[in-house]
Amino acid sequence: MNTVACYKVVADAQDIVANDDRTLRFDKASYVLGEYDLNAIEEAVRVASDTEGRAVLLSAGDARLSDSKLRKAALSRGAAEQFCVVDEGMARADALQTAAVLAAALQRIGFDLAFFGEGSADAYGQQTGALVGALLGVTVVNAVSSVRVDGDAVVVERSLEGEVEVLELAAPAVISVTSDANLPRIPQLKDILAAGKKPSTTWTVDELGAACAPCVEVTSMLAPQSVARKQVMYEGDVDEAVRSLAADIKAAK
Amino acid sequence: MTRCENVWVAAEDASDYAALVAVARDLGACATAVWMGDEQGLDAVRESGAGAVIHLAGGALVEDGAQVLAQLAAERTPDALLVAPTKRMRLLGACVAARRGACVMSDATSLSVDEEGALRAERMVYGGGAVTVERGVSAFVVAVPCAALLASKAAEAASAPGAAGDAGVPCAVETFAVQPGSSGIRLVERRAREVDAVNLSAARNIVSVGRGFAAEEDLALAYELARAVGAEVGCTRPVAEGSKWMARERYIGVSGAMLTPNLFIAVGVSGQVQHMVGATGAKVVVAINKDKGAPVFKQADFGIVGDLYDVVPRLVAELER
Repeated sequence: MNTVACYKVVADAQDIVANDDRTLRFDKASYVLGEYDLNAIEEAVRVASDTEGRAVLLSAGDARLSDSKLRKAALSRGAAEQFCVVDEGMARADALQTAAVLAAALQRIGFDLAFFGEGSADAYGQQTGALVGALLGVTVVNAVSSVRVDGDAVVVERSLEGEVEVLELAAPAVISVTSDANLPRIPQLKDILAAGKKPSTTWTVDELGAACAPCVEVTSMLAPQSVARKQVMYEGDVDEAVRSLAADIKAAK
Repeated sequence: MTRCENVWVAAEDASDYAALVAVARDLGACATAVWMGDEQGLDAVRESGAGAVIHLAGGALVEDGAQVLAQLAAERTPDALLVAPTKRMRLLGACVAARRGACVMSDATSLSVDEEGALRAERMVYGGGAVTVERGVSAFVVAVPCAALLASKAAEAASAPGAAGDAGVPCAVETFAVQPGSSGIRLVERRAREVDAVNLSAARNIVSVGRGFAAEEDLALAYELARAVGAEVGCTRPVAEGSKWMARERYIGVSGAMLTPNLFIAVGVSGQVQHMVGATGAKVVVAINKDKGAPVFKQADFGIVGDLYDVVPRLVAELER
């Protein structure tokens, strides 16, 4: 089966700096592949390889997507080729605008199974895969913790709050996998070198004819209100420190 | 969005409707319940306080109902659909949203209607590192209130039974047929999942375990401390997802549990915002970490700089004295 894994390049949350007025600074942030998307890439590569198909990658974003390090980071994980939709507007796109772009690109690429992570590492709205599947009018399912392909039959396990479902899907299908689905590989140096030689195609939103009106706008983004804590630290003599802390714990519990 | 008057609500569990209806009511909207379950649940949904019920019947799976629901939403033009924060409802919500040219406002910690009549949601992004305010600008939006918001509404409704308006009075039902299998999904098997029955959000005290523990068997130390304090044990995401030392139900943080205990003791926890955001509501935070510079100490009331393998046994002995 031919598979596509979709991924998002995001600011590493650990590098975001909060100013005193709660505004956020991203200037020190490194950009990385969304960590949940790594499971999508791994699953797409595994399924394609098990079924003598081909796995490719798809992402939509701003110019950062073209960064060669990020391209190699994605392509070093086993997929054969990469497609990027690069557009400055993508950085502000809402989930439906993103989904419309990905859906149009998927239509162009063609696929049996398209994989998404459970949510993006930044917004974690847990919806893009579902939106894309619905826009394309194909089978769509989320919370998938394992995928098995037997001939033409695609059988998945879906981990819901209180139960596990085993479902047979009609292909083509869009599948959002959980982080239980697999353990993403750690690319080796040779994988990263080989990634640089793999084909990569870039489209714009206009080329795909996939622009759509916004439906949700973000009016503010601030650091969470911090809670003032006493920050009393006991150091030095362990027995004394433990006695003090035990007293604090007894008073609080 | 220029108005938010007609709101549809949907859940898998009939007992979630009262809280969803209360959220809709707080928006000043009249709620219509969308029910896709069995007849027994239908009776409960009819008495949830909703003004009317749309019953989608005959679908083998909830997923089969998405198309019919989107079609009904196109004809009747509700302003919003609110769905319970479960995996199945997230999928349903997104499928309806996409067909109506909308997207989903996920995991809203609060929902309101702004001066222009648009639905306004607050939510956390970057794993709790930031809080955003979003507003719906399309004619229709889907929103997922977060579990904590629904729980607080459920508690309000339970404490003031009269406040839920028509709750207890069965409302009218319209039934629509759903074509089984229309989602392209066939159910092969359904089995109960082993779920750790812990309810951290109800716990009075919590001991949280981080990657400072070197091996799974060492978690015994944390359980001993929890026993001495009278606490439940939770953990950071890497402990639940990476190491799988604990069940997901025990993972604390933005996409896990958000807590309001008296006492939160972080043991071997570095203090990343993605985890500590779950402890924001704690009255007192205690940290034990060998790294003096660990961010956790800035978010703690009391802390010991020391090796947890040394400190925790002594602390347990002192607490049991």
